[in-house]
Amino acid sequence: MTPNSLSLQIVILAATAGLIALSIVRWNRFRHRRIGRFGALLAVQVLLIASGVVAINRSGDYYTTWPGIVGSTAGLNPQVIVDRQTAARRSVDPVRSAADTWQTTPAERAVDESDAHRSKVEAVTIRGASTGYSLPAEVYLPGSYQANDTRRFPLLQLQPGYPGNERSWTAYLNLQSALDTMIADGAMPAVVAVMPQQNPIRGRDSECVNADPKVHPGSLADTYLSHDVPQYIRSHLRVGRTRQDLIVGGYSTGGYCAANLALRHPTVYGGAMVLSGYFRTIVDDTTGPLFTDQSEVDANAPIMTIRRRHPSLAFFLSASRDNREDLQQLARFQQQVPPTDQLEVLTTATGGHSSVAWKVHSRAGFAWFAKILAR
Amino acid sequence: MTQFLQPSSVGLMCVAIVAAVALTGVTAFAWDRRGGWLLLRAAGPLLSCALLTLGAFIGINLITSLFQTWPEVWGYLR
Repeated sequence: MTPNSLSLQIVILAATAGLIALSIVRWNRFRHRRIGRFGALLAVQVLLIASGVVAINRSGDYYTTWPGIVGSTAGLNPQVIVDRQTAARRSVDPVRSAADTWQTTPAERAVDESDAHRSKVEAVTIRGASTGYSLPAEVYLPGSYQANDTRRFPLLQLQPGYPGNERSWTAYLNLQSALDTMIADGAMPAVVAVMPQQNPIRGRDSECVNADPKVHPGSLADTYLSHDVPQYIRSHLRVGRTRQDLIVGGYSTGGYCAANLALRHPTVYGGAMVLSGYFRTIVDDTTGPLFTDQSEVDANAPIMTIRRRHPSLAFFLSASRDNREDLQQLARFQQQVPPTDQLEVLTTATGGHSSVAWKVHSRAGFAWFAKILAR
Repeated sequence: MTQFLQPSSVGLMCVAIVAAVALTGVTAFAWDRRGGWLLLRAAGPLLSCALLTLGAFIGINLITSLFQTWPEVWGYLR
């Protein structure tokens, strides 16, 4: 009986109904009347809330294992099922030149590893030059950032799901300790990571798109994320200047954002890390209307834009095999990725649509980023 | 709004859970009383259930870091 199973839902509902019936029958006959009533009232309330929580969990297959609820990643069994590199990658990439190839010297790697645990996460406000937005963000600076004031670092732009915010990657997915550990272990070079707020209108899901001003004035999330954020980071921090040094990633809605932003702006991003993402904009009550015509819908659907001619991109896609919806979305998009793009696909046996899966998926995604930087 | 009232406040979660348990206790112990206490029969369980839901919500939000402010919550529920 898993946390997202129908049998658990039935058991809890039956227990709730049984306890309510028992309480009514025994209400004046408890041996210790007041304590019995107190216990019955409290137990019914707890069961009602548990029933609601299980129903919500079932609706999205969020947590699918009991260890997962307490954060354990045991049994996820991650497997890379596709690892496709393009031999012709550099020759077909009009943006990248030989001089852009990312290289770290052995001395730099040694400092990366020894200073890894001196990293910092700073809260900043990113003022958008194009949009005029001032939105919060968190920035991860590796321990070796302070060691050398001329060295530049690759940049990860990480988007949260919805609901979520600029703190989600650090607070929910323990980003700092994950990157520190991987850098200390030599699994990846030191990187800078920026986690920007993606919803210009607080409380409303932007889907990281530029909403049609006729229906949603003041929501230019795409311009803010793909132009303002990289420009701000590059002008304030020592990060790489080419698209190959900048990967956009995210989980759930953030995964959709990553795929969409990379495909809409392939001269800004070298690739996308899509964790349990989807590939068409979800327009619902949390977003409000976003587009007025079909051309805008199509232009923001990675499942369609991936077929258009674009500079070579690198994709890392992941999903849990026990979340059918995520797996189907991944499979459909994977089929459309052209051979000129790099592709790595990772699945886990369990994990659902939850932080448990994304902790494991993102670590594999960071290792993938290290691989494409080294190529 | 002070940090105490935010949806990721440990203090607010504790207050909500303690208040829910206390209200359930008062409701159970005063069930047979007459007069104004009768109001507790209807309002007590509903209010304590609402408080317990609030406590559970904040507890889950503390683990998942989904919401930082209440407007984000209203926006999601809208």
